[in-house]
Amino acid sequence: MFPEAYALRPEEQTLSVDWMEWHGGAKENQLQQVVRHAELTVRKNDAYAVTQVGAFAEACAKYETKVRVIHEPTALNQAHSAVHRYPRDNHTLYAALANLASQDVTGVGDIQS
Amino acid sequence: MTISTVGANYVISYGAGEVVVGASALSTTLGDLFSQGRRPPPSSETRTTRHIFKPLEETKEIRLFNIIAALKMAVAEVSMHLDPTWRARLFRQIDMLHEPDDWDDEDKLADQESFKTFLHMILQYGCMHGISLGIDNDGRILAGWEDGSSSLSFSFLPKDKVRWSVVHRQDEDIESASGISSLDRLPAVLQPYNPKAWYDNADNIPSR
Repeated sequence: MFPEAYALRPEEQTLSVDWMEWHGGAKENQLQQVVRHAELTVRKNDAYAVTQVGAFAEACAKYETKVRVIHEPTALNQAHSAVHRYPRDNHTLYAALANLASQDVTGVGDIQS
Repeated sequence: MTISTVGANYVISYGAGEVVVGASALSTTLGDLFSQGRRPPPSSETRTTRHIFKPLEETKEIRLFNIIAALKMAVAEVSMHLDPTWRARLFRQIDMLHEPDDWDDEDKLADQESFKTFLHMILQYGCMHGISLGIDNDGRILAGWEDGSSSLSFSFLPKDKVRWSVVHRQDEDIESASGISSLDRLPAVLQPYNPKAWYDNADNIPSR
């Protein structure tokens, strides 16, 4: 997973994530629901990374960034959450988060099958 | 070399040879011809080729086709310095990165100046094996390796600049560093992170 996956787009103020446990059931079902309710176009060659919120926040804190992960459901995605106070242009942090996330990555093709 | 159209197909004439291909095979065929040493024609003939490629409406598929051809032609220009097996793998990765289903009409395609920096790195440091390639939202070429808990990533900027990121993870402790350097400076800035483990041992490092 490349660090660039954790960079904010110019129009973004927060990092969008999904609270997958909101969907309930086994992890496999949770990921299927995450894909089903995604508000972006999801393609078969895309992938989802799963990271514990605590580990994510701890990694950010290590790089002097105190983030807040807040559940912010939308009309289309009840599990949507946002990472606030997320830094822009901190590639050292992005690399650390990408490395952490690479421990648990599942391709959309595998989720949907 | 000249390229003409016959119905829905393309006829590529080179030297004494000629091959007819469909649109989907044109990029790959051109790549094969260039890699076999059939260099692109002089500029006077190239203008004719470009005219044939110019579409009335540039669909997503046409844009992807054109960028694939441009990237492969850039590789072909330095193919004499590249291991043939490595080059063939690079061509496959370029094709995989440009599957039409993975792109939207408004997406930025690969930046050719970024790709040029990537090629310059390969020419300077050798064919690094086990590279995973990607393209970010700004069209920059990305390259990376992952070795268990450690990872190394490059984002190629124009004019031989590289944004590098290196991470070493041991248990719950993560050490990460990043910066922007010139290609010439890469070994020096990565030296604290044992770059030889990546460059010299690249054959044994799995792609990401």
